[in-house]
Amino acid sequence: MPAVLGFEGSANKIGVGVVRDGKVLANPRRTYVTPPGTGFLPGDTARHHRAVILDLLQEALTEAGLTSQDIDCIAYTKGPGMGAPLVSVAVVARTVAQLWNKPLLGVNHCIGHIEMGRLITGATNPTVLYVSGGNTQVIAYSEHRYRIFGETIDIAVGNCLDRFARVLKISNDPSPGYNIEQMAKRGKKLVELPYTVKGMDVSFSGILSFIEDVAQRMLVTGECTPEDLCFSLQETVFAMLVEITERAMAHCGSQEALIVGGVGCNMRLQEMMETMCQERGARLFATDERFCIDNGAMIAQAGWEMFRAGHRTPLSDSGVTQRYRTDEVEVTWRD
Amino acid sequence: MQAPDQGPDDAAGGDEGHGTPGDAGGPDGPAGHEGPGRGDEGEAGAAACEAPQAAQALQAPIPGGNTVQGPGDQAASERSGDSFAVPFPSSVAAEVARRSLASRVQFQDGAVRKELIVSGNMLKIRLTAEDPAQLQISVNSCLEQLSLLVRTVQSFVPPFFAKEVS
Repeated sequence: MPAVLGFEGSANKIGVGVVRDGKVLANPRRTYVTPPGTGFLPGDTARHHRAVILDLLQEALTEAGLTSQDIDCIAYTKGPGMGAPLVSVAVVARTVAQLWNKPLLGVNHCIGHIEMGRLITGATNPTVLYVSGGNTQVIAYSEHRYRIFGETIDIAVGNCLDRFARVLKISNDPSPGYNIEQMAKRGKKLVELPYTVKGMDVSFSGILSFIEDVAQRMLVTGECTPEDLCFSLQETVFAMLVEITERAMAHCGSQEALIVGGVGCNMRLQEMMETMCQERGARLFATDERFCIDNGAMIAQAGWEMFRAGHRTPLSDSGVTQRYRTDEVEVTWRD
Repeated sequence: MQAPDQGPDDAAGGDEGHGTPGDAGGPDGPAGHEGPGRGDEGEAGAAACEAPQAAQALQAPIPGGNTVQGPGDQAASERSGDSFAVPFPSSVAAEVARRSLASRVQFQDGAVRKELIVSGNMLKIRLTAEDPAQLQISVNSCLEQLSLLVRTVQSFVPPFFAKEVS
């Protein structure tokens, strides 16, 4: 019954989680929130993580009712993500692994999301839509790899939403995407935006440029409200995601879809995906904000799977990397 | 100076953010807000207190190397260097620190080169780079990581380990 401690800090959320045999024993998290109109920079984010990580670690152990001796493995986010925050978290993971004499595991952040999604929802072999501020991928499992069937060719959908939130000076608390979602519920007018699906892939940078320009013009003239723009942006980008997910499901003959990543918390996205799944006779799986948003337990869960399959990361190889593809990892824990 | 049974760990800055000027944020300096604890926090705390003082004291020329020079004094291909030594309560603790701070990153032209050497209970850190600005960022980053490491050891050292480090 191995218990795995997981550290996550690749973006502005830092979390420490404990998982044992499919049960999340602890999952505290902190978010670095910047003022409206601004984003989070690597150095400032790393400073935030360094300030709170040790308290989070103690909180996780206390909540789980465990001591260092009860932990069997230390997992941490190897990548992808922002360099300075990744490094700060990795230093703590390496240090406690040596202090407690426990094996260390570097985990792919994307696979952390997928494995937590599978654990929480019970989905057996879904087509995965992974959508967050840093990543947008459609993934399906095949022959010991999580294969990327489609992805963004420029910025992530969450990045598009977050940067649009800055234009409107929408609050970043608790997250810009959440606040856009609430405003979109009050939108009444659909503003036509570019719709950029390119085969299995999507593009969001042009939509962002367009809506930034439109916002300047139309808000001044009163042609639309900020709520209308939030609504229009969501409807457009989410429809694109539904399309490429459906295309992948048709390609794979899949009857399950799983949404993971911070943008996966969005209820409108879940609603649109549910409609598509129902039309196909497929089933949709999604988690709540505890596990959609970056968290330590997802790294612990992926680490748990890897640990049981015999993976280990030597200290000499325990660096981090800002670019780490989902399909680089050999998924030996699945058939 | 190297301990006979331990070689330097080379690490370039690229993947860990050292070589990217925008990554490390504002320079806090060796005695910034992440400075070590004081008072009766034991030998690890004392070691942490030593860190910024050691960093300031050891701006001496590196044997066979260069001190940090101003841009006007430096040829394009010449690398600048900065080194400092951090005392730990024991060689075991210093080795823990070395392994935590070292990383295996492919060396890239123009990136920061980091060498970590344990000699007795001292961890010697040497950073070299062609770009003095990158070097400054890397020194700040290294000190911040060192501070975090020391706080981690102070907070989570298990009882059996505490006997070895004291």
